[in-house]
Amino acid sequence: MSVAAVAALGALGALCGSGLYYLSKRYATEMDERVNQVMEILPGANCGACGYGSCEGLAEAVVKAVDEVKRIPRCILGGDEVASEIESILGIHAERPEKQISRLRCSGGSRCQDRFRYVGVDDCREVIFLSEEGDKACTYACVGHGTCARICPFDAITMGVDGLPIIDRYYCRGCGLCVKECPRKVLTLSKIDEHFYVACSSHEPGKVVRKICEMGCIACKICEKNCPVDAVHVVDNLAVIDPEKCTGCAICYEKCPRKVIFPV
Amino acid sequence: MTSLFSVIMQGVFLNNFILIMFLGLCSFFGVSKDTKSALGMSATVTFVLTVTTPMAWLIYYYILVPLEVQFLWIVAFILVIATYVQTAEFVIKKKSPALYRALGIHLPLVASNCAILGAALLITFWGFSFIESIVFGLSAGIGYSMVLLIMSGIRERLELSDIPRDFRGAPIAFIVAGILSMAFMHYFGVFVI
Repeated sequence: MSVAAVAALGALGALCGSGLYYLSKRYATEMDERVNQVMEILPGANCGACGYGSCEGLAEAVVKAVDEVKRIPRCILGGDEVASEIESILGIHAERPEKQISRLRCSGGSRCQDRFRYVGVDDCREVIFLSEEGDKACTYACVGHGTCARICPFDAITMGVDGLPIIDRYYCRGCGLCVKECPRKVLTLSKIDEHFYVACSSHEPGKVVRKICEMGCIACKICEKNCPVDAVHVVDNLAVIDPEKCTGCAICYEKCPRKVIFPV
Repeated sequence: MTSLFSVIMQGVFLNNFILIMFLGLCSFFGVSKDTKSALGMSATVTFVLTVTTPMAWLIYYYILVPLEVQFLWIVAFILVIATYVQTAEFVIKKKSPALYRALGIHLPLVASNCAILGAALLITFWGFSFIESIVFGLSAGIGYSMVLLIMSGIRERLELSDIPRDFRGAPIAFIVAGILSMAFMHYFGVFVI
């Protein structure tokens, strides 16, 4: 019996071993050495801001794009530092888009009236899931339950005392996770070197905004009339600043009666 | 075993691998944090279970029984399962990189998963026929996937809940698993086998 046992197990082991050896040769996947090199430079946060599932996915895409002479995908977090390191390794030159950060397009918070008192799971997505209009009187307002602050992988967002998230412009890497998760879409990505932005998303007429919110754009058009370079326009009851035209003269900021135009 | 239907019910509910047999618990707690990875893991386990159970059956009845070395079954099954999982990894990596990215990280986990070995041992222990062993492997995989997806859904919801501080994380997961297990215990006696 012991002979049979040794023979059976030995034969099975030898069969499996040789089979695996053959298959490992036959199905050998050659790893590109450059992918590993690029991987080492990438931050390894696997945040997905680049549009690939992981840093490995981006590294493969970068090497593939170099081979096929296509537009090189870019690590949003790493920015120019990582981009230039990758360029020096692969011997290429890629174009540099401008850095973007997340900005809050609402200044209501505790200054905005409540529609009802929400008691429950402390999460914006849950609030909007339960009641589409949210617990704030303004249907465009930030609900202020801090989902963005919790999911930010870089601790760039903290909840302020007025119930609004505060975004740290130096910590924010512009990965856009908060923009994606915000159920109200009051967070937007915009270029870091903009001079001013309108911290309100309400398309309600001025009368309604005046009633429910201490802040909020009332579409009075004072900014539009005073802008010397025609950069501000009131579209659908909300002031919009064209960053291309804006020179940063701060006249709209000073004239705005509701103080919803924020300097950066 | 009376019918294939009862074998399916055995695999999915009566002898649910996670909640009744307590097999594959490491992956049950490890990958149930979010539904996406739970889906990948359950697909991998179902796939591997369905293929390894008939293979174990063939090894047992055509190699071990004729040689009268049935006591080697555990070693032989581990050998076969590990080889199979490794082979699957090679082939998938070469043929379908997209599938490899979805299943790849789970495959090494599956190779040493007790649920897979448990299924191979059970089909010989209970004396299933070849067809029954394939059906049992598939239904055990479905039962595993079902419980893993239920658990991941609950845990995603728990992430948002206001749990007392001492119960956050693993403790509440254990409690949830216990309650789920008690619920599945009620399937005893529903199907006569």
